[in-house]
Amino acid sequence: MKIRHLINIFLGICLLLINFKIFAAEDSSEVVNKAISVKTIKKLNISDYSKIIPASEYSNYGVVQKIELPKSSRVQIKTGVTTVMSDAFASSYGLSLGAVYNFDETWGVGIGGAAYSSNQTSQISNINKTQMQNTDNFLSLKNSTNASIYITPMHGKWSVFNDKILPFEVYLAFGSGQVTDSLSKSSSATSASLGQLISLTNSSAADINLQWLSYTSKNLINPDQLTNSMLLTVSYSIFWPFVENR
Amino acid sequence: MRFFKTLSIVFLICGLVSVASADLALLKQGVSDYKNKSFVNAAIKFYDLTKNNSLDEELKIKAEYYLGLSLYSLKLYQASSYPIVKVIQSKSNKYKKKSLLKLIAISNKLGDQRMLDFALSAIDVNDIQKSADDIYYFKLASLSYDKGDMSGAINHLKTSIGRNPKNEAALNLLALSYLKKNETENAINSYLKLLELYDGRESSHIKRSYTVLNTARAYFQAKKYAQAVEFYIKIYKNSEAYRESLPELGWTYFYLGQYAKAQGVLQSLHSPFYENFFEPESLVLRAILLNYNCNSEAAEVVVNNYNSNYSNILKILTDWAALKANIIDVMAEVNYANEVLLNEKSKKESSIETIKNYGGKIPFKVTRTMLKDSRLKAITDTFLIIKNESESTKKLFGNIQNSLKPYLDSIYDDRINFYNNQIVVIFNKVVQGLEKKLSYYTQQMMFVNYEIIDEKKKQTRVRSNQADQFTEVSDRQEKNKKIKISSVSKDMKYWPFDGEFWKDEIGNTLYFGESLCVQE
Repeated sequence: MKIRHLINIFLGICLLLINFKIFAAEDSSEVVNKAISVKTIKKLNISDYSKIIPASEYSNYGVVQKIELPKSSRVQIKTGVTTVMSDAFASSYGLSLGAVYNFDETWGVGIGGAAYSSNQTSQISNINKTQMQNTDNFLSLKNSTNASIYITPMHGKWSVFNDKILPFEVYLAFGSGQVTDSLSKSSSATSASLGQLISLTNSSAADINLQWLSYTSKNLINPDQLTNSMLLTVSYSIFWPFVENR
Repeated sequence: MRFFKTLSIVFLICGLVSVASADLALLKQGVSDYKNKSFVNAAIKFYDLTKNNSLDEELKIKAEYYLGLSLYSLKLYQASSYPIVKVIQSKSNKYKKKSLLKLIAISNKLGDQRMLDFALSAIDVNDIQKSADDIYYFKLASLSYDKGDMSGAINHLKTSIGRNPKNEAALNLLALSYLKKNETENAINSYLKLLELYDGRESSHIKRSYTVLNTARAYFQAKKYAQAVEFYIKIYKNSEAYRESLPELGWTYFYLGQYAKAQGVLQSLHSPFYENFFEPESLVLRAILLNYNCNSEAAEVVVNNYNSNYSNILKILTDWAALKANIIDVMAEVNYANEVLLNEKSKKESSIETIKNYGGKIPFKVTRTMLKDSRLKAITDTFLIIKNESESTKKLFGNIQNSLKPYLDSIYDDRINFYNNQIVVIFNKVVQGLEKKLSYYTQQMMFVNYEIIDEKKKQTRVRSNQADQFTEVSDRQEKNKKIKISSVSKDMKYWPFDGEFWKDEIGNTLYFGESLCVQE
């Protein structure tokens, strides 16, 4: 191949590239003048603000809003149903009643109590009826009372079906009290609770509470034995004084 | 021979008397039907009488008047205006006054300002001054207001309110008239009186919400920004007026020099809850605020956001103006938007699905703003009333053999054609107005963009020389944010922003950004 041919090829490629560039430029100018496509119009039906704040700027924004269910200086009266979840020998259900005075949004003190009705489980009844074994010493709770200190360290909110917003808070309660078992023996108890208060209005809430009770009870082998009970209580709370719409 | 001649004259007279008495009987029957609320039969009888050339002129006018009343009672307001106008234009004075008042009522039902103009210009004020009620004076005031005669409007409104101190529309128009005259104190007082009338109504009440908004606007016009804020923040969040108040509240904070608060308000506005609205101005303000803080990076993002959301819209509006749209094109746009709006109303929030299938050539967020234009709203409302009335005539008169129906059809065909043309004219005017507005904001944004680049250059130069001072700014920002959060009152909750939007947080957004400006 002679150098002349190489020059010709080079020139040809250059011309092709120049042509391509011209066409490309023409194409792009067409794009500029072209009517806006239906797809673009559809995109413009709504504004897209999703990237209006760069991620690095998130920390510059925050939300400060009124608490849906303010607790400060309010008395909370709650009543509900409770069950002893840890009792393998009896099904115990009861009614609970309590009152809490909240100093502020974090701290409060309260008292509460519950009375239980217990039925031995079918397995225990079976032992009693068919094997003629005495099952009276399978103890269950008869009632309990306690006084506690409440602390609310967490709050949050749920979106229900992307429609309704339910604010909630998680509280802890520590205290002591007294329990009476099915043999009417009373003993002191230590209690710790983890609960969730789900705000229904600004003066009412649903309360789901998991309470651990530790107390001594009579045992056939060891007359006094440390016993633990786990109670689940669902109650309805009213806060007083009532507040205006917020 | 003479006998026959006399006899023929007697017969002729008897014939004429019998015809006249038949017409009189028909008129009496018509009046009786009208009184018995048999309006369809009454209207047919009266119409036949108006077409009877042999009928005495005075009786004809009576028939026209009752035809108008019958059609009015059948809620065919547009049709009823025709015979009523004939009565007004006739030489007879017997039914003129009543007809004029009826025409005012018709114009009120149809929202037809031209008809009102005609009625009021034909009426002798002194003639009915004593008997006229507050609505009449309110109408006179509306007319003066539309003509730009604010003093006249204020005088009529004072009389109207004097006769009925609870006339809400009159108080509202009085405030607007004062604002047009820049008598802001009087305007504020009128709004405050109006607000007193709304005491005890729900905070979501639409008129109440808009009156609160208008009071805030009046304070803003009076340059009493702090008082304006007090009213802006009173607007109930679920009301329609709330979104409208946000950009204005942003500007008010801006004028008060409370840039962080203004930024927080705009953050609520630029959330997914309000993405279906035409809001270019708020983006301009947001970019200005960020640039004030020397936060060029964030300001540039806002400029880009403006371009992606609005630059094509400007082209769409320009293209529309060149399109020479006809009534079919215009009504298609109106109907598409109304469909989404109805869906929104029924579901109480925007329906993304409906918008996905949106077929309008003008984007939804623009058309919905256009539909709020009072001129377009008034004319489309009247058009809908007339179309419904036209449908009603088919139901009322379609099944009966009568000569009235073709007359009614011709009236409605004529009016529908008229409104078709008017709607196109007004729609195009609104498009042009919006195009002009958007074009202005786009220019402003270009100017802001220039300012951003300029500020960026300046700050880069300063920071390269004073790196330590810049570190100080960052530290100060973090420290101040902590102070602000810890100073939040006990009945408030603080949530950090992580890109999520919750509906209950609208209006509660705070901006903690400090000025990043470093002085030379």
